[in-house]
Amino acid sequence: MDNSIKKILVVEDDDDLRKIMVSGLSVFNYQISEAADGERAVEILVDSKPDLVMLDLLLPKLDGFGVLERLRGYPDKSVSEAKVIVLSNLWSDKDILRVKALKVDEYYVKANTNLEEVFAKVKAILSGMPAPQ
Amino acid sequence: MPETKTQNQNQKYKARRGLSFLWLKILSAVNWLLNLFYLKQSQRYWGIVYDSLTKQPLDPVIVKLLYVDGREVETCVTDLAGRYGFLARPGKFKIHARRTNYAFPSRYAPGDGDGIYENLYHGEFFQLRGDYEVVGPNIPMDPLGQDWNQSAKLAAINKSPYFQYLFKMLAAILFWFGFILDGVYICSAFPKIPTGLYVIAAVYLLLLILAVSLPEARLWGKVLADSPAAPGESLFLELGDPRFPGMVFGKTAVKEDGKFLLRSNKGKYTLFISKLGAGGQRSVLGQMKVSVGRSGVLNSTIVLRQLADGY
Repeated sequence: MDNSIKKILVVEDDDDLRKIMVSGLSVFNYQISEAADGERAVEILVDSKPDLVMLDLLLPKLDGFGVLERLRGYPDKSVSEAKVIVLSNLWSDKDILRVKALKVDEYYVKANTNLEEVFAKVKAILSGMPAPQ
Repeated sequence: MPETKTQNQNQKYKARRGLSFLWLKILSAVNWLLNLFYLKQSQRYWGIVYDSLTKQPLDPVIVKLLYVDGREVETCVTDLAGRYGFLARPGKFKIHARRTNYAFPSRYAPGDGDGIYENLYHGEFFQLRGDYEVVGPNIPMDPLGQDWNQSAKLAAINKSPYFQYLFKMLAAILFWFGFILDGVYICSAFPKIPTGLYVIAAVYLLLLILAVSLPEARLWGKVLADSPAAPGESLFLELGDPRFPGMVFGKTAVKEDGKFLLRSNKGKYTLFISKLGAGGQRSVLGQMKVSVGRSGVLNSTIVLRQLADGY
């Protein structure tokens, strides 16, 4: 496996939307994993240590807030310091403040976002990161 | 001197804008009251995509406006309240809705209405004539099985469309019951009618007159510019909140005639107006404070020159 290839985890319980996101990101040279629930997301986070996580908040088994809390609290920095882009339709002040406190890099509201913009942001974030050793 | 002239212009503009906002708010409040008593149909700023069985709004649904040949005009994703909408030019179109675990078009809600929602859409072509129009029929979708997301949302929202419907029915029944009761009292007390009964009758009369004569609130907003955008240029609007820099709470492109359809949740925002040049470069032209009301739509008029003057 080429170590310079960046890893992305897409966490979204809606199958159609997840497929669209994975398909959109697959044109770039990334290694993409998928999870449809929070618990599976945490497993993949620990196992494959993605550079960036695209995270929904309303998720089965463990919600996105729980995933973020576990991610940021993980002792291994290569896991806990992953970049996170939240993509959710939740956008009350309470939700935003809770997510921001967990140090996300971007917060997009699904209904107000063009996925192309999100992909461009993913590219910008990952291209600014040093290649893993 | 020129500075004073600009200041005067800006003050006049602020006053005009303040009056315009006040009028929109009054219109919206009275329309809401009339709608509550079933005196007037509620205005549909948006279409709602919803579960044909539970009547709960669905999200995220990918809704596409398509030309007859299947080419895509515009795509949007429903928000938590299932809302979506397009502002489309004259032509023949169809809409397609897509969501995991749901089927479109609906077979469970086949007619034009289902008691809760009216103007239902089932995938047929439709023709728009004249000017840019707001497109947003309500779209029922049939559940294909258990959907975790919807169940979780139901538990979180705790708000039933059936309950809202019953509440409105009850309000309407009470309204008309009061009207009849007042009429009966007036007849029985004639000719010595107490002043209170006159006042009540006057209020009813006023509401009925308003129901017939009050203009509809505008479904869209408009940008007025001194000079039209150059070929290849387009204007974009984004709603931001100073407390959460970088987050977008609503966005839309402005059409050639200046109209726009911008949805958001109720609240106060900063509206950013930017221009996308032919080469793809984006420049912010100005910003202003705006508020979005209960309707969830920004339908005011934005005058671009004042913004450029530094308003």
